[in-house]
Amino acid sequence: MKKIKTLAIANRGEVAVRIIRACEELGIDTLLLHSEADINSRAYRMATKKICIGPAPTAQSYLSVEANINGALAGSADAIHPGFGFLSENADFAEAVARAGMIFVGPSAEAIRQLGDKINCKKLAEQAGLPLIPGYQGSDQNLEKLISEAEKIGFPVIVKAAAGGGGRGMKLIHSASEARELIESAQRESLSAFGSSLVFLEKYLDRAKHIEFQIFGDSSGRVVHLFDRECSVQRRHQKIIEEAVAANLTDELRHKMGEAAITIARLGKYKGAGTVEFLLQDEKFYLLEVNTRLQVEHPVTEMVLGIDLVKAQILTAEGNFLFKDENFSPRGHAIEGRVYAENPYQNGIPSTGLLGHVHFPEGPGRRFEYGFEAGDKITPFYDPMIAKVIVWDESRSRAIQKMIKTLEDSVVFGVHTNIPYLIEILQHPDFVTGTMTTKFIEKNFAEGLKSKPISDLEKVLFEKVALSIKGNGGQSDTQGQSVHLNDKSKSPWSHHWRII
Amino acid sequence: MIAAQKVKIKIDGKDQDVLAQKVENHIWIYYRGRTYALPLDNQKKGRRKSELSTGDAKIISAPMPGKITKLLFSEGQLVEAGKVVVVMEAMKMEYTLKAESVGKIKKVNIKIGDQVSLGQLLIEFESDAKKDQK
Repeated sequence: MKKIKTLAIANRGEVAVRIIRACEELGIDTLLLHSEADINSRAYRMATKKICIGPAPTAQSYLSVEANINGALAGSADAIHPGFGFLSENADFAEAVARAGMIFVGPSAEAIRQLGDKINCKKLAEQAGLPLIPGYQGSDQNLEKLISEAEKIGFPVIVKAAAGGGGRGMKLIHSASEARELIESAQRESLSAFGSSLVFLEKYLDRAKHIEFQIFGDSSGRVVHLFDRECSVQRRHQKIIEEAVAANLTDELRHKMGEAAITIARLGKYKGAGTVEFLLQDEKFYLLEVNTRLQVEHPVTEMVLGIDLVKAQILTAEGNFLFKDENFSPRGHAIEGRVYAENPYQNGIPSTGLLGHVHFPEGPGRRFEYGFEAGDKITPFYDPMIAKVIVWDESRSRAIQKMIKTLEDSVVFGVHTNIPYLIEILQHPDFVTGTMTTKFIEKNFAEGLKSKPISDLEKVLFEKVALSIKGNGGQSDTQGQSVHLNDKSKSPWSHHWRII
Repeated sequence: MIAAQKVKIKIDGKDQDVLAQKVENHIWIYYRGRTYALPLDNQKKGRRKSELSTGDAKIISAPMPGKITKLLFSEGQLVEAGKVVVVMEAMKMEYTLKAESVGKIKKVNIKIGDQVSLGQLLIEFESDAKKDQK
């Protein structure tokens, strides 16, 4: 057992804040390893110490093994938490951390190589007799070879980054004619996001549910599963809404998939938090991949089980975490909505800029994870996720109601967000009944949202507000003003309405 | 930046409460569970198109800030309608910018690796491709 005194965080945004919170409770100092672009962020203001490890581009900061190790050593850290994304699934990084005499908060480099590398993981799963989706995982990465393998599998085929996750470096190929362009694009994205252009191919299931199991290996090596999450609501293979537990999953399937998740995790001698992802179609499940790290959507599992996965990760790294009881039982239902800085009325185009007022109103069963506040800048260098809204309630339908109300109460000024998009999804019949598949967004929201008409009352009201704020250097003088709808002002503004 | 303010306005005798704030060149308004953004400049230079391509076939401009990752044509080349001309990356995702209609490229204002800003002019086409072909 080795007590951690200072934990370095090789990440940014809301996950850095999440880790800092866990450390504060455990009495551990934090050292934020940040880029030049992230000085105006919540994690920067909260961390005990911070060290700038490089400029904004990820290759020179968050993705640089050397910069992170040097930063952690300079700040006298004795452990590093990689968060998710960036170096979290990089075995070389885990090894470099150990070589530098620090603890890597995560599984062993060996386990990352075995399970985190998607090609190795599939081999291991195949040997264990676990069901896999037909595909090509060869090391011959010649473009012509990849195209011919894609044709052999039969379209639609999906091309994925071997080192990746989170939808980056991942493309859906519908026909042979677009294979070349999309495989090349996936290789580029993969290289830029994960530092490796290695890709693999897989048959695309067209009406599958994405269901994943949280796994956890404690200090003694005992591996359990902490139930399932459903993340079928995805766009461009990027998750948008996640829930625990999965909607409409039978007990029989839940049991079988849970056993499969434990089997693969044990084969990799897994320690700490990880996730085994499956696709489920026509009552048949296929192992998709193992994410050897904390997952973005971990809070929904925490909410239904009453556990703290980040603290459990840190304690496990210290050699100080044992499961006392294996009989976990989920209670109620939790939903997470990812808030992306993008304009849903312009087909999800990224939105960057200075954040104005940000308010997430508290309430029973509401939880907010966010990395930026008023006055911070959302830059084009990183992932567009700026916050997560999580709710818990007694049942799925109540959790949906609560989520809609919570999102309606949330205010973000300065950048456009997908909050209206999330609300529309939560109200869709396929989501409400829990019958959605990974095709849900493509089928129902392919074009983003159509802008809603503005009522006459809103027009008059907003014009009054805008004119007064504009005319007074940003300070309103309209308090208590009285207007009648029939004396609509002839302001030049009327033509320039744009709703977000 | 001035803090967001609660504004109360009586319309047809009924109080309406909104939260409003000026952030850079927009006024942001929160009213009954929805957020609205109003551009402050009255000139009509704003982007109106919702596609990741420009409505004007004569140019391609950046629909968002980001980095240029691929250029598929060079100056003087003829591009068919719908062909990908530029690939850019923003927030770790790739976006392809296509030619709206057939045209000959007059000028390429960028190179691979360039960081571009919103609305920046990337590609200029000849004013009338059909005439040039004669």
